[in-house]
Amino acid sequence: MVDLAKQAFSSKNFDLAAEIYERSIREYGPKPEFLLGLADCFAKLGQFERAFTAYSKACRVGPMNPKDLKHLVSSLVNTVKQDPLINSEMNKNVVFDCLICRNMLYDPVTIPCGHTFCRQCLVKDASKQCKNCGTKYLYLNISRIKSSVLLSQTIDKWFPEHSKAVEIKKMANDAFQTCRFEEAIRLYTGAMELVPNDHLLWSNRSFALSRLDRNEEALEDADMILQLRPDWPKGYFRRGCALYNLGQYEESVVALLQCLALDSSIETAKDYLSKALHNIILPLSPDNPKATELQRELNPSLLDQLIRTNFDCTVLLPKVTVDTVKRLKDIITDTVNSATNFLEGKDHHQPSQPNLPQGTRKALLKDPSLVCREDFECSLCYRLLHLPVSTPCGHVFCRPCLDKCLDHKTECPLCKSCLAEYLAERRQSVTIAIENIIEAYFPEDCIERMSQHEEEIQELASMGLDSEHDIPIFVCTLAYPYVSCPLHIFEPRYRLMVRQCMESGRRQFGMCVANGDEESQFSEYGCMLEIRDVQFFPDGRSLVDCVGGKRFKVIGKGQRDGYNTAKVEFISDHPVADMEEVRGTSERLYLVCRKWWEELPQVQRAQILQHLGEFPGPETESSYGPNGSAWHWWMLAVLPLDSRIQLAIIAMTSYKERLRALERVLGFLKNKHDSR
Amino acid sequence: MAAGLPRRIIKETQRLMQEPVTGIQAIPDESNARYFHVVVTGPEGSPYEEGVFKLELFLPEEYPMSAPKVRFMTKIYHPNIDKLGRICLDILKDKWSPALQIRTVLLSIQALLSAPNPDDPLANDVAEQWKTNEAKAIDTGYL
Repeated sequence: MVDLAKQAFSSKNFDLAAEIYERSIREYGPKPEFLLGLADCFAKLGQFERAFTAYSKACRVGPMNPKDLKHLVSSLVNTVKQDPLINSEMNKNVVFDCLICRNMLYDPVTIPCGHTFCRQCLVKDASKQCKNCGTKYLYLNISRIKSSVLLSQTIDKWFPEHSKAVEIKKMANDAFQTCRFEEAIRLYTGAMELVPNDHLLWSNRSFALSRLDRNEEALEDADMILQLRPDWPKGYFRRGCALYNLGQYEESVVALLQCLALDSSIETAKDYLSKALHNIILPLSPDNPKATELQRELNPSLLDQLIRTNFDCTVLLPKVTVDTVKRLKDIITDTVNSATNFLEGKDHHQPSQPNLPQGTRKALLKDPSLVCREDFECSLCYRLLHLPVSTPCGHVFCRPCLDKCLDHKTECPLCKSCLAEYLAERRQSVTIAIENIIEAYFPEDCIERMSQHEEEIQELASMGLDSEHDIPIFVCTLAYPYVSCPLHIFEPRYRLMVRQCMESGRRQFGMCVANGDEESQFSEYGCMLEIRDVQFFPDGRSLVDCVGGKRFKVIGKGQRDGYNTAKVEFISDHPVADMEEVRGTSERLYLVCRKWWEELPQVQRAQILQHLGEFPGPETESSYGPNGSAWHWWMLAVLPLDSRIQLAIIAMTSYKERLRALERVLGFLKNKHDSR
Repeated sequence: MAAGLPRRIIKETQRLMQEPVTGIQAIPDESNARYFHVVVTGPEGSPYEEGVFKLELFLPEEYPMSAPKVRFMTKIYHPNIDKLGRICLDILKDKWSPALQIRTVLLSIQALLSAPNPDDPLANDVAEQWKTNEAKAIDTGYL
């Protein structure tokens, strides 16, 4: 029977399991095992009143251990558990705070997702997951990420008392570790004078006080934590512990559940919760004044009295009993709301009350003249940091600036440490803390810098749209309309060019052929290439899949960021006048070319296919549009022509003329072939 | 590009003017803000003490992604500087970093005058002289 019930329980069929246990109790009497099993079922089903009754019965018929309440604890935790509190909205308020300890960052480390935590907090945290955005890090080696230079320096400079307090706290923690609690308390108190709103100090002092059984004081400190940071789960934990030590188990349960509602992963809180619940469920000893009082008042049967003592009356406050799970829910909702409001900065106390929390640390800044814009300038462009990214060596640059450097060398421009891994990860995450500092402390500069960036993007996006905006020129080979052109991009300036093309959304550039030894010498005619796809290699090189677009004539040359640019006039064919004749020539030539292609040796065909793609289909009406047919460009790309002839053909604005040129070339090649 | 001088160059120029380095003067050309007329005085205690050396410094289009181009206009007898005034200095070549600036480059050149590096010569004859007969080389340096 018991096995059957256990089976039903483990397959989560709690109703069935409860039924079996109830039947067993009827048949074999109230054995502790059955009662406990039944209670677990009720707990799982969320019927806490019945669960409590069953647990207390179980407790009366046999010994019970706090561990026996694990199902009750987990059900209660599930009832109160909230979704992760921190969402992206709240990121905006994170300035100098570590989202693990909710305190000012100390030894700040920015992990690849762009969120910053105290190094020690990260090392202690076993979740292998960013507490802020949830990004999973299975292989993150925190010791290989250096502390953020800018954030450390800023905190030291703006909040000098913070670093002093940290030193004292370290000594206090040492004292605590070696059980010198009196000394620890003295040191924590000293540190509090420097930073009265550091909730960790209050929390540690509360813990130290409780070790000395000064539980009333421990509770006072715990309540102070909750005033300072109602969003910090451990504050409720401290309160729960203090209440537990004071024997106020019901209150303790509530506080512990508040803690678990904010972070359901705190195991020590669950331990205390089961201990507290155990104490509630344990029958009152007959000499307990409450029991005597009840007995006198009601004079019920013994069993009845015990049940009443435990549940129906005053002892178990309505906060924990069943129909009060609903009230508990209200308490939890309040807890979560106040935590959320705190994080969102809605519920902040006035900075004029020095002992009370200030949501953003801005108000804490004693000397506003320490805020210096130059500290937040990028050491590459000398402008206010925009899209700040952190390297593993702890340095911060504007993302576009660092990208440009990495085009040239895969090392940090400041300390020269190798950034190959950083580059290979292609991480793009902005360091939120720094972005938030800039937005909070330099709002006007920040807006100006943002509009500068937008202008730059706009500038790139307008290239070729009118005569004012030059198009970027890749000097390499000749491209043809409709014909695909795979490119291997490795030169720094072209890496930058391709990136800019992609960022601006234009996804195109001009292709010209070199025309002399000087970098700025390139052909007078060229063809636009549209980027269809970019594949990046770990070292920053890329394969770019392009296809030819409009043809152009260069009318002016320039340079930008190290690559050539040009003012261009786009060329297109004149309308075909003698349609019949052109169509005839075109169809005839198409067949000739198709035949030539089909007769090519397999090896050559494979090579051509790889680069230029399949032989295009025959004429359609659009073949008589601005560029003529796809197939004739494809043939011109395949045929081994001198670049001067190719350029001359690209420049022609008559489809008919180009077909004639193609015919002449084919005739010439045929003669050459025949004469061999 | 239509947009003028990058902010970085403007800022660097401003800072060079506002907080000049002792013994170094760098003034942008009136017609070309990327071209600087530089005067470096020989560092104290070096053979070049009291010498006044003119240099030209040019910021290429890619600056700061590529190093500034610097050349001595005044003739100088130095193992790492050739007859045409070209300078052999790692940070002007493969050790360039975009986080360096005009100021740091000129400071390095000044330091090079104090501490020649005959093992990495550009002017072989001078380097030979430095290695074999430093005293004489220093004498020549004074001339």
